[in-house]
Amino acid sequence: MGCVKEIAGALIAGDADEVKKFVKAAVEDEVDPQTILDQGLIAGMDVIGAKFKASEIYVPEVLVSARAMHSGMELLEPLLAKTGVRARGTVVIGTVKGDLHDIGKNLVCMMLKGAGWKVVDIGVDQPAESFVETAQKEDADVIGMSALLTTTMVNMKQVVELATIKDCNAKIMIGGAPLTQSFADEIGAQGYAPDAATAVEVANGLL
Amino acid sequence: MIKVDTKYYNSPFFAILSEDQLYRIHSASLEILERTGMDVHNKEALEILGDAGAYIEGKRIKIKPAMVEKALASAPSKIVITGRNGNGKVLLERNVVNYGLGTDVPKQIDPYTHEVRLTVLKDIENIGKVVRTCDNVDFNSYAGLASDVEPELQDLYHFKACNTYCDKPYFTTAANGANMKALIDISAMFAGGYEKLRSTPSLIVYQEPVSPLVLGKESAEVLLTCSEYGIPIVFPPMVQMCATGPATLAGALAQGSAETLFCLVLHQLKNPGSPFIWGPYVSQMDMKTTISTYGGPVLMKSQAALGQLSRFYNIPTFGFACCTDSSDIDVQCGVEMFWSAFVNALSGLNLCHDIGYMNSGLIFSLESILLSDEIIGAVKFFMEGIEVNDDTLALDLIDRVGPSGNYLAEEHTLQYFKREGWYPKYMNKKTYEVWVRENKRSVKEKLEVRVHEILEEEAPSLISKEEKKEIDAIIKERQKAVLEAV
Repeated sequence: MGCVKEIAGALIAGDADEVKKFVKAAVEDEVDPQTILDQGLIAGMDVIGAKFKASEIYVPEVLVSARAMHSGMELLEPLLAKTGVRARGTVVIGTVKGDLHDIGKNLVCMMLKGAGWKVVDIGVDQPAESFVETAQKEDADVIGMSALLTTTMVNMKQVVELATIKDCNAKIMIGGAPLTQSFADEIGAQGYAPDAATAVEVANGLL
Repeated sequence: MIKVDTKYYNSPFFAILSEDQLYRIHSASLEILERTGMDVHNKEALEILGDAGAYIEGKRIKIKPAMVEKALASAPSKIVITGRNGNGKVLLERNVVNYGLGTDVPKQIDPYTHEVRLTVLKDIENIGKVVRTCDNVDFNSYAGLASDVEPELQDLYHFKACNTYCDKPYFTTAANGANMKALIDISAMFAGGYEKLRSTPSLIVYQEPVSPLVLGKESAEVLLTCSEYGIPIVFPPMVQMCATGPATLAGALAQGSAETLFCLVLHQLKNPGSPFIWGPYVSQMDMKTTISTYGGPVLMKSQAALGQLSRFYNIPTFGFACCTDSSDIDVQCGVEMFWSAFVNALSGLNLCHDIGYMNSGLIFSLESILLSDEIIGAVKFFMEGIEVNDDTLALDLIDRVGPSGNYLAEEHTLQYFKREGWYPKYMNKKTYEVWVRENKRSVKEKLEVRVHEILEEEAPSLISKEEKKEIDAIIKERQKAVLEAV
């Protein structure tokens, strides 16, 4: 069990090699993979998330820790699959049709991955069908949509409508510079995040 | 391959006067000194100047250009001041800009009630506590006039209070020669003797002549005492255009420059090579309100000119930074503080004092020190210019990331994002929604919170019991002398 705490510590320090080392040691000690995930990797990333929210650390530092988390996850994933343990949640995320902007979406992807989510990134300029079909295929908990342009944000509504028609259970969250909570309410999206840090909170809240 | 004939700038630069304009101002100063001269109300000063060949007409002294040139030649171009415990350094030489506090503000904004009230000694202790936490503030000063001690000895009490929690280089005034000597005695006690204090001074003294063209008795005493003991002194006349100087900047600069040069001549005659910081205050008296303006473009024009003049003279110079005429931490305060810190840096002024001055030097607040610290940080960042080399051009990285990639999680980003970016403590960088959710905190509120944190933190006294005793003994001796003189 000692190794589990050390995993979190190494992850907070952003040291991928150390994270790998301790995850390996924990696996060899036959620690429950769920415990390694929850009390090691996710616990560490929760600390990082809280520090980021309190403006104590910066985006690149969060991403370094997130990268350290992935290297631990690589070792853990086969075991998790075997025991049927799932990630914190699955999100299908993309930029809506007509929009090629993706820096905000990419940032949110990295933040969500770091927070223990399985992220299926479908890329930019994606039609409504692509969001809904992928969400159903992946049994996603959340669909995340991004847009930078006022001319493309209107396409978000089609995704919400299509999800209803197709009986897709995934909750829908949106983000992007021109968006607002009231727009989210108007189109029937359950979540709205004004920035990448908040996106993780909103996604967690939708579970 | 080699890249040849390249010139790199480390920082931006600008100039407000041409070389010929500078020379005209200098030449005008020489004419003022030889034609009009200054009135001197100090016996020793009159003797020294007379012995050196100045023209004497009663108390009116006129000076020949050769005397000015001699003084300029003997005054050092570089002065180093180190905090009394070896902490913190002020380096006064060409192209080095230092920022710190000023002196003698009658009123303070109470950090808890926000009421404007008279300064007390406790405020001055608190100033030291706050300055200690400010990385961009190079020197400390008391920025107040303690109303709860006898006025004749204020400068001595200020020393003790202001240095209790801060040991950065100390900037102070002295009321007269005797108080100056007492301040030197105290500083020598910390330094381990007068010789050590002379070789590594820990304080910078401020006194001034009276514009137009008068050198008072007490201020001359302070000037001569500092010269004798090798304590760096700045001696700026307060040239208020329309009132104590002409309404025109050129004339006001020439007069202020003449007054400063006159005092430099006296200072260098007393002890050639003793450290002197050049630089008058030249700004407008506001003809609507009669305040002496510390904020706004007039003072900044004169500061820009003085930076150039000091390089022409090759003597460290004085600056006025992060000052405002506003009585509150508001929009005007932010604009004027930023602007003055910025122009001081661009002008290459060396000893940029009076940070946090509000209401044209009549009100001070602890919040304004923290705001100044942030502003100076931004100016420093700007003045560092742009580093251009293979690593910062990052061509391999740009090629590898390519179209549609991103730089967020790259090693290069991690390596450079702090150094090449700027992250304020108090300015708002949050999205609107997050800012609203976090109670719309203003810069002013954040400054207040930080001030309270600092005041409530345990801070160790940086003056030992024994040192306090010695300071008290020196103050007591002065007290006795003051009483006897009555």
